[in-house]
Amino acid sequence: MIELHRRLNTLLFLVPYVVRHRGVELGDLAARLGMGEDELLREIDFLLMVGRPPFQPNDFLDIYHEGGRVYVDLHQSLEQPPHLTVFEALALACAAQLFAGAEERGEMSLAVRLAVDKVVQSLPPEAANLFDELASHYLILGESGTVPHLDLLRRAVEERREVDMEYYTASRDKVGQRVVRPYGLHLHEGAWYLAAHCLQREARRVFRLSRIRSATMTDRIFDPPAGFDPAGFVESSLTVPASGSNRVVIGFSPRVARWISERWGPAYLTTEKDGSMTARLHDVSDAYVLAYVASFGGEAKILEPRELAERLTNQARDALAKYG
Amino acid sequence: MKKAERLLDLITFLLNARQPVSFEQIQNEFPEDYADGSEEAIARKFERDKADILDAGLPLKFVQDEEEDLAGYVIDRDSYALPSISLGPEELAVLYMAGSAVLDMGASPFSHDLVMALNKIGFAAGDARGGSASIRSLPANRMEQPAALRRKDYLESLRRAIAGRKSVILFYHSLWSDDKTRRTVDPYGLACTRGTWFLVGYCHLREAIRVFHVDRITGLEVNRFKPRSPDFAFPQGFRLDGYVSKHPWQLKLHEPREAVLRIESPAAEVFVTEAEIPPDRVERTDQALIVRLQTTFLQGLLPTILWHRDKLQVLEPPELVASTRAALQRLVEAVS
Repeated sequence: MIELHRRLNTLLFLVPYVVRHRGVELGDLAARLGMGEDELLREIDFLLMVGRPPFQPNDFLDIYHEGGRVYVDLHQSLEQPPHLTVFEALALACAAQLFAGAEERGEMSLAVRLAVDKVVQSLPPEAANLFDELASHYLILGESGTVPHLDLLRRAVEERREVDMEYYTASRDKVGQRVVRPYGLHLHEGAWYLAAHCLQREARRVFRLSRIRSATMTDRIFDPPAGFDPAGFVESSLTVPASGSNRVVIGFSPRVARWISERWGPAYLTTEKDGSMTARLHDVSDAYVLAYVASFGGEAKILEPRELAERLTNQARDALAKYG
Repeated sequence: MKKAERLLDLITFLLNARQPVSFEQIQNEFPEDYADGSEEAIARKFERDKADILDAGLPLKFVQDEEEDLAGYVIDRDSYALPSISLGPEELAVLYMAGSAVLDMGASPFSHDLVMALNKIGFAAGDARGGSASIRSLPANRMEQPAALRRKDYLESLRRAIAGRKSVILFYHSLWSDDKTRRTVDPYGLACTRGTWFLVGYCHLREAIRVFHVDRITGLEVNRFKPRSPDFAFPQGFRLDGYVSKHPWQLKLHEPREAVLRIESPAAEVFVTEAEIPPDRVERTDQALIVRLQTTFLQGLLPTILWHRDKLQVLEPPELVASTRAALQRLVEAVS
C-alpha cells in the first residue's frame, strides 16, 4: 500500500509539472522525482492509459517523450499538483530541525522556522491537526553551534565568492589563515563539512564547520568546477583507507569488539581468538589515532607503530601529572 | 498495476465533475471496475478505493444537499490543489538545503516524502526558474548498499507505525549481549543523532520505554491486524529528547550535575562550538577556557575528556576527577 500511495502522489505531481515545464528533459525529470529514467518511461507509458469517462480518445492523458524531452498535451484537469501530505510536511519539518535550537545564532534558523510555519499553514485543517500531533515524534538533532558559519557559507557557495577564514587544524593544534573557494556543504554523521578549494594548499580540501574560528565573505568571484560532487568528495575524504601506506594497527578488547565491528566493518578488522579485535587503518593522522584510542580509556591500544604507542603513554602520564 | 489506474481514473473523474457524483453514476461510468461480482464485493472494493485515496492525502468527501436533492462524492478542486505558499527565496533556499542534507544522509524515515515535499514547495513558489542554484537540483541517488536499503525500509515502516500507532514486532540484537531477542514494541518516535537513527518505544518484553539502535534491528513486522485502528496511545507529555541526546553526557540518566573543565586554546573554542556550550558558561583565562557543563550522565563525558587528554583538565566534581585519573592510569598500563 505504501507503494500505491507513493505512486499516486508522484504521478499526480508529474503531470502538472510537465504541464508547467513543457519539454522538460527526461533525465532532469527523473532526478527530480527520485527515480531512474527507465522507471520514469514506464510511468509515462502507464499514464497514457489514465483517462476519464466516457473514455473517448480525447479523454486520456496525452503525455509523451520525444528526443529526450517530455510533453503533455491533454492534462485532463491535472494542471495543479495536490497539496502537501502530512508526511511531506513532517519530512520538511524534520529536516528543518537541523537548524533548530539556535534562534539567537543566525538568520537561517529563523528563516527555516518561518518557512515550515508557512508550509504547515498551507495544509488542510485536518492534516494540520495531524501534523501537530505527530511533529514531536520525529527528531533530527543538528549542530546548532555551526549555524552562523553555515549561513555565511551557504550564501558564499551560491554567490561563488571566495571566503577568508581562520581555521583550526586538529592535527597541528593550530589556528591558521585560509582563503577558500567554497564548492558545497555536506552533513556527515551529524556534523557539517565544507568542500572547497584551498588557495594556500592549492588543492581541494574538506573543512569541518565547527573548526572555523571566523569566516568573511569576499568580493572575489570564482568559477566552480563543472560536474564536481561536493557530497561525494566529503564522503570519500572522510573515509579511512582500508589499504595503503602508513599503517596503524589498533587492538580493541572483547568488551568493545561488537561496537567496533559496527564502526569499522570487515574490510578493516580481524577477530582474534580471545574475542578481541584488530583494526588496520591507513593514512590517518597521528593526532586522530592518539585521540581515538585514548577515548576508549584502556579498552583500546596502539599495536603499531611502536613510537605512536609510546607517545600515547607519555601523553597519558603528562595528563595524569596534572592531577597530582 | 490495475488498481493505480482505476484510482487515477476515479480521481480525474471526480476532479472534473461539476457536482457531487453518486455511487450509481460512478458504477455507470466505470462498468468494468465496479459492475462485476456481488453487490457486497463491489461495495467493499469501492470502500477500499476510497480509503486509499484518503490515505494518499487527497480530499475525497461525501456530501449531501437535501434542498437540491444532491448526494455524492466530490474532490473539491480548491482543497485538492496545492495552494501558493509565499516562501521567499531565502526560505526556499534553506528548506532545500535542510532537505538535501537529509536526503544526502542516505536513509531517513521520509526520503520519498522529502523529495515530493521539496518539489511541491518549489512548484508552489513558482519554481523560481533560473533562480537560486540550490533549488534547481536534488542530490543524486547514490548507489545503495544492502544495509542502507534495509535501514531505509525499517525507518519508513516505523514512521508509518508511529503515525498509525501500530505495534511492531522487533527482532533485535542488542550491543551488550549476544542474545537476539524478539519483542513487541509500541513505537513512540524516531530520532537521529550524529547520523544514527534510534527508535524510542514501549518494550513489552522489558515492560519499559526503551531506545533501540535502528541498525541493530534484524527484523521488523508491523501489526497487520486492523491497520486503521491504533494499538496504543502515546503517553501524556511524551518527549523524544528525554531519551535521545546530542552528546552522551546529556542522556537523562541522573539528576543534573555540573562538571567544570579547563581546556587549552585553541582546541577549547572548537569544543565549545561542538558541545554547544552557552557563552555564559564559558570563562576565558590566559590560554584556556573554563567551561561549566550541565550533565545528566557524568561518566558520559569521559571519552571526550580522554580525547582532549593533554589539553584538558577536570576541575569538578571529584568523582569525575577520580574516574579520569583511573582511565589515564589504564592508558599508561595498556601499552607497557
